Formats: sequence, C-alpha cells, structure tokens
Amino acid sequence: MLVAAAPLAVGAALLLTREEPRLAATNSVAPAVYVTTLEPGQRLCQPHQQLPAQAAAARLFAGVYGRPGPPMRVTVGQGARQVAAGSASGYGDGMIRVPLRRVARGPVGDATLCVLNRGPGRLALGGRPEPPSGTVVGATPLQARVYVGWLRPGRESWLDLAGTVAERAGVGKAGFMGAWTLWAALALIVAAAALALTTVVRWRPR
Amino acid sequence: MIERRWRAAAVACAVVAGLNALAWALITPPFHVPDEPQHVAYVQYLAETGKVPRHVPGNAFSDEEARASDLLRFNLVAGNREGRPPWTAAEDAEIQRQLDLPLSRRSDGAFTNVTNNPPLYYALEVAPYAAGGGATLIERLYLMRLVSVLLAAVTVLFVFLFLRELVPGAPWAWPVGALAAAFQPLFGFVSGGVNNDALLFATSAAAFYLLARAFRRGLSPRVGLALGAAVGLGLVAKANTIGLVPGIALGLAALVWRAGGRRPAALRGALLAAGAAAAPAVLYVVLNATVWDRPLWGAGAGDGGGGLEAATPNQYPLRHFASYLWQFYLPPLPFMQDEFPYLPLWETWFKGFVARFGWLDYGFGLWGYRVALAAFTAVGALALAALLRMRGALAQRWRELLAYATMAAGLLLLIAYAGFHGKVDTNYRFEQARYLLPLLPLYAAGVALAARGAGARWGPPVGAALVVAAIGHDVFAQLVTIARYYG
Repeated sequence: MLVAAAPLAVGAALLLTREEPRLAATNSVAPAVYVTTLEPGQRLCQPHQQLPAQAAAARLFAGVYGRPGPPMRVTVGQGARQVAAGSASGYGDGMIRVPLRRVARGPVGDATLCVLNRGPGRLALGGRPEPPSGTVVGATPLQARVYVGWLRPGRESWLDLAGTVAERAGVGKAGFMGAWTLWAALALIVAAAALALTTVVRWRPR
Repeated sequence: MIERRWRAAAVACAVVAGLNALAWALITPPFHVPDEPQHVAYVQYLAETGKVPRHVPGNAFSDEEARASDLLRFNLVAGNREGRPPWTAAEDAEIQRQLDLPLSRRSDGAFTNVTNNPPLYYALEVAPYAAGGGATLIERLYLMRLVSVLLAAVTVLFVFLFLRELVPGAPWAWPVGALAAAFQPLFGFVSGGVNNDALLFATSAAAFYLLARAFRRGLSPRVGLALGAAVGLGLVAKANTIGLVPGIALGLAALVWRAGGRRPAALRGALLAAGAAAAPAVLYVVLNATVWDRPLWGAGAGDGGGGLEAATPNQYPLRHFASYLWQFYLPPLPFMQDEFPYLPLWETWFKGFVARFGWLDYGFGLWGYRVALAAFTAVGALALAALLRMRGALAQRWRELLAYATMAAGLLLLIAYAGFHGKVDTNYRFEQARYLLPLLPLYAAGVALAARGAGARWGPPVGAALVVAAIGHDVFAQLVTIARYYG
C-alpha cells in the first residue's frame, strides 16, 4: 500500500507546491481564433472590463508572425482616468503576460482596456467573434472581443492560493453554500479514502 | 465468518462511492456535468406540468433556468478552458438576489438533445425538486444531484455483489474491484450531476449482478423477475440499455439450456425476466403513442436526437458502418479509409475514461495520460495472467463469459451505431467515454482479476495498492477540476 501511496504523495506534493502566476480574474472570452491584427501604431480598445483588486499583470493571447513580439503598451482606464498601465516586448505566440503598474488600488468596474502596438511588427490578438461589443481598432468597430486575463502578483502555489480557491468555490452555488463547501468536499474525499483503506485492510485473508 | 463480514464490506464500498460522488457534486459547478442544463430542464418541466418534453419548437428552458445559466456565465465557461464562473462575493450577492426573483418555472417543454430520453430518472428527480419548492433553482439542482449520488452508491453495491458471484473463491478481491469502481473519476464526476446516466449505471450493474447470480446459483423465477426488472427499469432510464439486452438474452438461454432437472423453473425465470423487462418498455411506448405525442422510442447511445428508428440501409451502408465500427474502437487497417482525424481508441476512449471532464474541456496533461497508460497496461497484464492461471475454470464457465462479452459488444455496437448515425446525418461527433460506464462491473472485475493475477501471496497487497492507485487517480482528477473552475 505504501509502495503505491509514496509516488502519489510525491506527485501531489509537487503539484500543490509548484509556484506559478495565478489568475485573479478573466473576461472568459475563449481565445479561439485571432480576431484582429494590429498594424504598427494601431490601438485596440475594449470596454466593460472588470479589473480585480489583485491584478498585477494582464494576460493576452498574442500572435507574432514568427518574429519577436513588437513592443506593446497596455493601459486600463475608467472614463478619462488611467488606472493601470504596462508594457511588453519580445514575447512569442500564445499567452503572454504584461506587468501592470497600478495607479488605483481596489477593484475597478467597467474599465476600458487598450492595447497599442508600437511596432515595427504586427500583433494579432486572440478572442472570439461576436456582435458589436464596443471593441474598436482605431475608430473601427470590431465584431469580436479579445481574451483578457488578470494575473495576481508574483508566483503562488496551490497551497498559497487554497483559501482564495475555497472562497471562489462557494460563489454561484446554493445560498447555504460558501467557502466551507470545498473544505467539506475535501473532508468527504479523505473520509472515503479512509473507509476504503480500512475495508481493504480488514478484508484481507488471515 | 466471511458470510457475516461481506455485508459490512459491501455497504462500506457503497458508502465510499456515495461519499466520493458527493464530493464531486460539491466541487463541480452547476450545469457543468454533460447536458446537466437539459436534464434539469426536463425535470423542471415534468415537475411543473406533469408532462414530458416533446419534439416541439419553443423554449426548452424556463426563464428561471435561463437566468441562472446567464448569471453563472454558463455559456462562457462550458467548452472554454479560459472561462471561469463568477468568483467574487459581490457577484455572489447579486446572483443570490436575482435567483430569488419570482421568475417563471415553466418552459414550453421544447426539444433538446435529452428530450428523447425515457422519463424514469426524471420522475425520480421530481421528488427532490419538489422538496426544494421554495428554494432557488441552484439549490434545487443540488438536491437533485443527491439522487445521482445515491445511485452511485447503489451501483457500487451491485458491483460488489457481482464480484462476489463472479469470483467466489477470492473474497478479498471483492472490495478491491468494487472500490476501484467507486473511485473511477469519470463515474464519480457523472454521478455528481443531474444526469440519467446515473440510473443507467445502477440498473446495468444490477443486471450484471443478477445474471452472475443466476449462473452461480441457478435461474430461479425470483432472480429472473429481478433481472427482468433491472433491464426494464434500465430501458426506461436510458435507451442505451438496449445494447445489453442481446447478451442478457443469450445468458438466459444458456441458463435454461444447462438447467437439467430444474429446467422448468429456469424457463419460468427466463419468461419472467422477459416479461419484466418488456413491461416498462411497452408501457413507455404506449404512453408515448397515446398520451405524450412523442416518437415511439427515443435515441440510442448518447443523448442525441434523431432516434434509432429513422435509420435506413440506403442512408447508412453496412460496409461503411463496418469500417466506422472498427475504427471507432481500434486503429485503422491499411485498406480502410480514415473515418477519424484522430485515434478514437486513445483520444476518446482512453483519455476520456482516464480523465476528461466538464463539457469535455479539461483533463490531465499528456504526462498524466502516459502514467495512466503504464498503470493500465500493468493492470491488464496482471489480469491476463490471472485469466491464464484460471483457464481451466474459465473453460467451464464459457457460457457465462460469452454472455458478459456479448453484453459489452452489444453496448459498443450501439454506441458506434449512434455515432455513425450522427456522423452521417450531421457530421457531429458526440461519442464520450461515459457511455462505457454501464460496463463498470467488468472494469471492477478486471481490477479484481489483476489483483488475483499477482498470486496467492502477493494478491492481497497488490489489491490494496490498486485501491490506493484508484484513490490517487480520483484525487488528481478532483484537483484538476478545482483548478479548472476556481484556479
């Protein structure tokens, strides 16, 4: 039993303690296709974004046409006020991280995210085609929304994030459920495992 | 001593399955078990109107369910690995406020991909739905999930009993196999949701058990009646039960044939089985024709519409189907035209059985499947060793084994036929590994056999190690589920 349990325990420990950038929120747009390509100097702006309090970086889905990603600037504003900004360059295809410098602390609702391609290369952004949503490239409406994720500061393990994950797991459930739900589920798993192992041990030949 | 202890072990295995399915029910967000929104809509329509949904246009979902779905961003999250349900306390407060609004609970009962399902499971779900009458839809959904959780426990109880009949000489292997089934992640995941598969799993496991019991102890009228009832209830739970029927019929014929002096009793048992199996199905067909204004019979494998009765040989050529059937489960042969742009044996069946959850939108990384492949290969080799060691006894039980093999083959054929039908009609592929779970007793038997394959001395510790591995498999699956929705 221990022979089987040891590698599983090691695997679980590695999984739970591995530190990575973790999501604070996302706009849940599937980066299914590249929905726009920003030529050098072009700017995309997408309204109705929710900037969470913990956001320390933006995550976008980029396409760079086989060249190092061109310098880009990301800004987040609410009305005329800029609340966060950051830059990135030299990135590759796929998910990219753009560190943000926050001006305003706390969550910012109904924010507008803008991405400026500073060139010289082209920058494609992943998202999902859909009816006009207020997203524009320059002044031209885009029939799509781009994917935006918001990353928490630094790198965290699942153990670091456990309390936050439990709180999230209690949202959108039955009214009597809450953060305790996830801990209850884990307790059920532990109880099931304990009962199973007890049964096997008691039931072995004598 | 063993006779006194086995009941406690059987109940313990069933409780383990229930606890595990309940954990899955708590972890998985509402509507994220396959087709759960449609199953909930079926229950709600049945509970609110006393009618079953039909092939009519209109709203399949009530205003209440549509609002709940929007609030939980269901359409943004299902099938989108980057999508996440609401996470914040502010969003939760707004969701709870809106769920409390008095929105209409009545839809038009219009067509969805589960409309063709028979109503038994949904009728069972009416009780928890009604019990939560004053609660929000999400609260009622969690109450409904408890029915599936209970059915998971019943399923594993029957799996244990099946193993007891199948390998009576190795009692220590019974809980090994039953617990492997209890911790099978796909089984736990589906059993943690509102889905009529949960009842199908239970009736299928009961059918396996009762057939095994008849082979070991003789086909009495009582066992025949119970076996027929299991099949009949399965037929009005989900049409996929049809796939098991040829194997069960073959088993019954073999039991009557070999009964010797007890042939009259066995024949009565077989006739009672046939009658008990047919009665609910006939009642269902009559109600469809006379009361509900629905097609006589629903779809086969999967939940898809269409129905088996629409097939004609001209539209679905046999040679094409034969090629499709082969490639559905095995690598294509050189002379075959490729039916799939991928290898279903690996992509659909193996990966799906090991870990693919939600709306088929997440699972393990490639390394996880490779580890699982190594583990399953080892288990398969041990089971094969056990079969070789027991070949003398197996030869004496060839009729019984043929019956189980035919049950499995019948189900596989039905799933492939429905898949072929769907591909020809719409080019839509719906096949999922959960359709194999009515064969969960055979999976459990394979694990129990693997433990026996390690020999008399090492069998019990290897069995214990297999249970630990099954627990680990399940826990990793739950961790990736937590990460998928909340991380």
